[in-house]
Amino acid sequence: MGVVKMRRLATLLTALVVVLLWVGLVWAAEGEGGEQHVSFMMEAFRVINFVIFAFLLYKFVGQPVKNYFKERVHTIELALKEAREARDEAQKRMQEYSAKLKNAEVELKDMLYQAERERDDQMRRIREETERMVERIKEQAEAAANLEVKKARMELQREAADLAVGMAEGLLKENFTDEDQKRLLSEYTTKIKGVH
Amino acid sequence: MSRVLARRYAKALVENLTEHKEDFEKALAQLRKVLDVLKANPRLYRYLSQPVVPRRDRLEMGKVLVEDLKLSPRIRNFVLILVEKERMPLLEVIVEEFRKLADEALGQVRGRVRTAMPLSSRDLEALSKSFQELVGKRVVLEVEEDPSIIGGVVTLLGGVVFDGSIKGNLEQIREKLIEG
Repeated sequence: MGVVKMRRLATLLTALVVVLLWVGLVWAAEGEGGEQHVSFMMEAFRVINFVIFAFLLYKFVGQPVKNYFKERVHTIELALKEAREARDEAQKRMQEYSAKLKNAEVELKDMLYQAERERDDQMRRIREETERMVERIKEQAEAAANLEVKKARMELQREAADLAVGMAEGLLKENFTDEDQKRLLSEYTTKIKGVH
Repeated sequence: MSRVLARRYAKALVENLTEHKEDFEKALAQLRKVLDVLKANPRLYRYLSQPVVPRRDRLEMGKVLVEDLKLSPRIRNFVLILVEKERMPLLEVIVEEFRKLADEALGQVRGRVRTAMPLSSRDLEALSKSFQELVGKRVVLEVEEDPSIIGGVVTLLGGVVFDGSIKGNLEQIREKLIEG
């Protein structure tokens, strides 16, 4: 007989003794007499009935109930284990995310710093380019203005020259004589001779 | 190709004239006369030039032309040969080539003088002599009146322009004034 069975039997006997003592006390409290004798029998019958009921209950329902509770305990243990694991996993993830968040903050700061530097560089370049462009435009405008002035001056000179030459041509046409032609021809001949 | 052909005809004429010791200048003047008449009468020029016109008809018309212009026998024959051989379209180039060959044969260069007023033969001779001294060859100058030059003369000789005109001087003054 195992220790478990002995323990069960002891538990059962203890329960029986407790029930009998309780019945005896009840009986003593109610007094003496024939009716009391009948009642005692009735009580004993009830106790025996109860013991049989308890035995039957133990015999047929005890094992499934035990199994149910065992299974239930197992299920709860599993659930607890899973919950612990889930908690551990969650904690682990939380730590990871915390680390990542920390890194992300650092990266964000770095990115912000880089972006600011890039923006500053870009602005500087744009400013320099704009200044150069403005300078170039100014130079071009000056050159264009100078050119226009030069062109206008040349145009004026051309007009003045045309006018002067036109006037001279008119005067010469009116006043040119045969003598002038002879003189010019003579000069021309002399010049030709002087070429070689 | 046409210039080569024209030069061949011109050379034949030069040789023929040289052989018979005839004057090139006179021949050139007569050829130019023919050319001027034909240029002034394009229909006649076409008639004498086109191969579709029967050769006999072309020759008859050619004979009328040379008779009217009173050409020397050699020039007369030369023109009729051109008509017969359908070479009249080359006449202008032939005249040009003849002038060059004749000048080469005579050892002379030809120039063109533009003048505002007519030049006396004495002035022309003096001018020719001046250029003759310059180029070392006999210089023949052809005169062209051009009142637009106002006064003086402009000579084109051997591709070089010798400008002694009022117009040319005024142009130089004008350029200097513009240059400032």
